[in-house]
Amino acid sequence: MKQILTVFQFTFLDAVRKKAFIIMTCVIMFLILAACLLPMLSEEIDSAITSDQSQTCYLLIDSDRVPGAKEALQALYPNAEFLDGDINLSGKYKDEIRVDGDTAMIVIVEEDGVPQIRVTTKSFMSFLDAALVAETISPIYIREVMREEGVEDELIDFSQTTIPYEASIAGSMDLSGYIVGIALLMIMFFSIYFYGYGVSMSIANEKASRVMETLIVSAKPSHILIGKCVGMGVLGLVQLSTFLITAAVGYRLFVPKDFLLMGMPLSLSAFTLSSAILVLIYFILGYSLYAVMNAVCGALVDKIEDLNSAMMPVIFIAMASFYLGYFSALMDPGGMLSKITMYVPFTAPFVVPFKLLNADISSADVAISLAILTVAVIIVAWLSARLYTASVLRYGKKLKIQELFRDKK
Amino acid sequence: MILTVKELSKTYGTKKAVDKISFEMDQPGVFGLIGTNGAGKTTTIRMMLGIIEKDAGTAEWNGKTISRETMSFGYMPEERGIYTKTKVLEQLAYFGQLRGMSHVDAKKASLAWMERLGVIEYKDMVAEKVSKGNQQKIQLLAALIHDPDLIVLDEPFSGLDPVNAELIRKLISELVQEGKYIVMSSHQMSTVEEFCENLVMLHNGQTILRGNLKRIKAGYGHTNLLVRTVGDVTPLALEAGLELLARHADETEFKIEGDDMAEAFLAKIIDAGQYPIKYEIREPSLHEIFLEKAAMPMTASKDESMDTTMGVPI
Repeated sequence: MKQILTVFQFTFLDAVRKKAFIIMTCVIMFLILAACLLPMLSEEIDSAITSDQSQTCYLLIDSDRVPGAKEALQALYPNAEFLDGDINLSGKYKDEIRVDGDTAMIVIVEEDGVPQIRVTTKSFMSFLDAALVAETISPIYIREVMREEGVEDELIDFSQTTIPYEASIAGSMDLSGYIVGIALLMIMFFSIYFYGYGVSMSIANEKASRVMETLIVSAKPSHILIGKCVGMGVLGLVQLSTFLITAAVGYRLFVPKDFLLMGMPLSLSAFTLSSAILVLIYFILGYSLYAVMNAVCGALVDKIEDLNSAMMPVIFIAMASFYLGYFSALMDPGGMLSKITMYVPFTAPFVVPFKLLNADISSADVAISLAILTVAVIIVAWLSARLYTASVLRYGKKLKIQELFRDKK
Repeated sequence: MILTVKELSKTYGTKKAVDKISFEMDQPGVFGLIGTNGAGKTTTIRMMLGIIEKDAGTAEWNGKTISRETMSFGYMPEERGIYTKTKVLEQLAYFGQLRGMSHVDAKKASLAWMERLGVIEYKDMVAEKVSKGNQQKIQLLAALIHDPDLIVLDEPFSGLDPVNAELIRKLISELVQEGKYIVMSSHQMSTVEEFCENLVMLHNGQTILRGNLKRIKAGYGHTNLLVRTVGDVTPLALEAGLELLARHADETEFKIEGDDMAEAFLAKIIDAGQYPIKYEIREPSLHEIFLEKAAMPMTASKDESMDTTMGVPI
């Protein structure tokens, strides 16, 4: 135990003191704070844009059935200036629009008694939305036609009302849970990838620089393996916590209180104490599962250049599990694939935390999934320790399966 | 304290890397494992220390199998390796802690050893900024930091400049004075001759010679004559039946069949008016013995090696 602690302490402190780690942590913290500033900046930019009156729209109306159309459009786009245009100059207006994104043209005509609305803008990202324009003009036209037909005003008004509606979600999967769940899935994947890569890189370095032989006479290979994995794991947790704290501080200081994401307030209400603890457990088990496999990859190579090739199978498993977990959890939450991925040890660390945050999993499923994952971690760690022990002092020769169970402690 | 290695063997595929090597050390000193590259020295050391699994045989310290759990030994591998991006003192303290020392004691011992080997000024420097020779000293410190009784040094002098080699020589002598048991492997015969009272000579995994160095040499008798004269005495030597072994910068070495032959040659050169500035009759060097043994068929050489040790029980 003492040796594991010593290896853990050395691995952790050695990595924390590295300039690359410090610089990367600072850069990401800065990016998080910048991301928190975005809503505020976006509001500022919006208000700057809205105070700018340089948007112009030529309105070319060749119909008597849209009285008040100009006023209605002005109300829809209060910051744009609507100018009455000449239908014969539409070609000239088009040339102007082709070079100026802040200019647009709306043509309302009746051809053979059929109304038509044509909206011309420089690109699809123009300030003018054709659908909104049509939505605004259509009721005016219909009202006018109905009036001509002698329909009473009261009936016309009634025909143009929208029946009140209300949308509610019966399940627990709301936008916040969904977004936080996706973010968690991403964090889980990148943590497993980056910190697992750290473990394999650290071991490959020790092997390539031949420190391994000095280490191996001082400590049991399995102790070195565990100490390294725990060291890098704790490093990952510390770095992630730093990022989360930075995000929380940034959120509190910079994100406006009434900030809406896709029309909904962003909340962390999905994080209850039990779900947070379970998410942490899945993070630790998932990281352990992949870290011990990465450690073996580091032990298998003679040269650092070969590390990426050696890691390919583990990266492939991690990526396949991530995408499988991601799509099964999102596309078909109640389906068979989603159930299977919940129990498969490689996919469970990605799938279950998402489901936990969206209350889309039963306690029994969590218990079964955790039990399978724990057993898998123990088996894979044991196998990895054998592989690691048999590989660390092997240079240039391939490892035979039978040597796994024969070579030294 | 006693180190006993009995019939250690290791085979890789069809190649016998080491075949039944045995030796013993029952008092402090330096024991030599000599042989060419690929002779099996490093494999022997790795089996002895339990780094790799042995196919057969035992390696014991005071009757207990040697392992990192049963005893405290120091080991400097042939392949030098240190953490290049880590500060020297930090990594030495780490190695000390791995061998059971507390952090404080490991740091204290590291500083003391660094002072002793003249590398104290590099303590807060990352290892990659330290010269190769000093990196080698740091590696040696990693083997000594926990004050082990048994120290195993695999090719300790390879790659060292004369100044650092002298420093390590002095340190090895001091360690012997302090009562340490040192097993040293080398392919440089002169180094082994300087330090080792007892040795095992390996060739292609086979033991071709073992025993006490003095007795081995004595068993060969006086076989070499080293002469320095003003003029060239080689024609006279050949006339007298001596065999020319080597011409050095200012002296000539001949093979003789005994002291009588050397004395007769001495009389002959004096008669010829060539007064010898140097005249030395000596035993063969370890290098010559090795060349002779390595050239012999395995079975014959091994049998003879047993005779050569002249009853030294190993």
